[in-house]
Amino acid sequence: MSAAEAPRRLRARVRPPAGRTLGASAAVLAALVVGHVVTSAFPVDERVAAPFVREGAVGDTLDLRYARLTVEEPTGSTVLAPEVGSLLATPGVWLVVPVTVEAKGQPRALAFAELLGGDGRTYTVFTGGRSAFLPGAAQPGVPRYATLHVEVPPEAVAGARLRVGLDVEDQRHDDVAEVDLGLTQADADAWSAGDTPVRAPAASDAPPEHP
Amino acid sequence: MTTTVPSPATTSARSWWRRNRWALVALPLALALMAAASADRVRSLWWEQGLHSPTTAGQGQAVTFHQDVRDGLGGTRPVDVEVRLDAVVDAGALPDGLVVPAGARAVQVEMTLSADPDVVLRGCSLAVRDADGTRYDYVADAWGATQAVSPCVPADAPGPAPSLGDLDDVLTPDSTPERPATWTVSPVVVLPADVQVSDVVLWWQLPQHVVLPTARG
Amino acid sequence: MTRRTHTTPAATGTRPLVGRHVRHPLHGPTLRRVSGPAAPPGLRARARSSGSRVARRVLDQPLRRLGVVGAVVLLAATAAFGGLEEQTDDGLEVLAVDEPVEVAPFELTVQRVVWTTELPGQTLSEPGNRWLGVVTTVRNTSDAGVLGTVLREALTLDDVPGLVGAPGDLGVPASAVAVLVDGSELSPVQPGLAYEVAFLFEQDGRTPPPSSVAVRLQRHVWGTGSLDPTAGWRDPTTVLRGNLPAREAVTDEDAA
Repeated sequence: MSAAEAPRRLRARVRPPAGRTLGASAAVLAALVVGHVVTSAFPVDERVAAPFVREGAVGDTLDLRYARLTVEEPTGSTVLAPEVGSLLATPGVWLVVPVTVEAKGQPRALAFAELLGGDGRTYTVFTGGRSAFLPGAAQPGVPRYATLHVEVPPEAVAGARLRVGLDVEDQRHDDVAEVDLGLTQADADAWSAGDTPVRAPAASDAPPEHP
Repeated sequence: MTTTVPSPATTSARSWWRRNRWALVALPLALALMAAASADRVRSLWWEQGLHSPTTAGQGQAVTFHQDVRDGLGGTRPVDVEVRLDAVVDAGALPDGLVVPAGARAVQVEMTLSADPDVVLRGCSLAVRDADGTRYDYVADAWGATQAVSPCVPADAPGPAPSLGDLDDVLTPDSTPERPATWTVSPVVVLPADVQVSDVVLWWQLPQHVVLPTARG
Repeated sequence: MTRRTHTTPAATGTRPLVGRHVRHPLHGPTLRRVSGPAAPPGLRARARSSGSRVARRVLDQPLRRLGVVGAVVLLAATAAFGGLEEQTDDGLEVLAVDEPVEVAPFELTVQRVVWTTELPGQTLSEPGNRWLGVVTTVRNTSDAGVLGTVLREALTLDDVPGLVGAPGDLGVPASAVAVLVDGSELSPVQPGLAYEVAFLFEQDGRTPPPSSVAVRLQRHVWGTGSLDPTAGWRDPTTVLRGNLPAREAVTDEDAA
């Protein structure tokens, strides 16, 4: 190959044979198919982003990254007496759960809660509204006494578990407390039959007066 | 005369290492640079979310603090102040209505500050820390009492308010008297009874903050 | 044996650069616009000599047409990796009273449309205005509680003059959704419970009270948005619309 012809040869447009092009296209399509199967076949996204669940029972003090949490004995009724406003009624049953929060490291304002009902459904608890949990900022070392109230159908009471966490929107990769409330169908029946209003006091640093 | 011929395995192995020695030397550096290049979120999600840039005072001495605070309107405004911690004592006279919970105590943080009267100092945050680094915040509206919103300025003469851009024209002009050049404040913080305060931290915008060690800290 | 197509005289005797099958470029050093067949002349010559009419006709097509066919084949091939995802079909049905309708994540049964000037627990923005209430039974048919903001988007009013609320893309949303028995705002909407609520709309007192209103029901889709990776109920779309009669509220009916 002469020196003058080599550059001319390089400038000429060479095309690979048809078989090679077809093979390459087939390989690209195969890679796309395999990629789709791999990303959609196994549901790993939820597990990778899952929170660290710390389990416990009523009365146990759960040690989370950001706070020490104790869930006390729940009560219930068909009528709720909130701190502010008039009585609230529900087509199901009100569940009122006292929660004690002691922050660790710096002041923490817990805002996330949800109830995993015994019927398999998830009952949302927001920072305000009919089903609410709002403890406010807790000073480290100074226990904060808050109350969570949620309305559920009676079939969700038996076997219900309560989850409490820090950030209301995002609990990924952080500690979440899960407490088995130890409720039975007998509790559900008793509460759906009664209409004595159950109190849901606002959060405070003073322990609630025990009747 | 016999010469030993090196086996093909050792020849190629030695030559691979030799061939790639400079790349191997550069590899740790390249990995570090790669980590640094993809670490821009470390700044916004961690560095700027905590107390990471201290200006520490000598015990009992004043310290000059300067920060260009982002003003929320695309620019910055300067914070120039001199702070001295006078004492951290058990609060003698509690603010009106303050109820100290069981197992807790109230401490009074006495500080002397001096700054130019037209420097905006409203919107500061105060906390005390113990030897472990646990932070106990000053909360203006808690435990039954209402204290000043900004614990670092006098309640009756807090000085200029931060600018709100176009809203400034609509708001009523500030009628509080001019802030003095030097003043003292004594906000009250509620914390557990068995905690020993080792320093006081004061900040306007994270991560820069002033650290004022106490006599014990 | 090396197969070669046309080689330039100058290149004869030189080693091929790439592989064994070196195709000669279609054009020489000077460029011409392609308007003829796409296939190189050598391939076409072989197709003609092979006697297959299909091969000859395919290779005689201009590049434009081959491109279209190729694109269609490529699109069909996307079926193998998700190209055939189901699309929901749309069509606006007629809304009737007292008929439960599935508008994900809710099942709504519109019972009546009433208006009143006094509603305890709710304040009018201006005296003289009135409240239009669409009394509905709401049931959350999904597996988890849903915030009240999603319920507000599920039922809107259309073509009602004098409404105080600003209209959105899908009609005017309610200013409040009040549970009839205690007057509280319904949020969050828990699954497994049937709530009797009134969707409240404020109407200017100067317009005469309506005798009928157009009610629209929207359904949501569970998914992630393009900018927001959190999963939620989004993209409300109207699926039912109906003209319902409106009347004045009788005293024993409405919210406490």
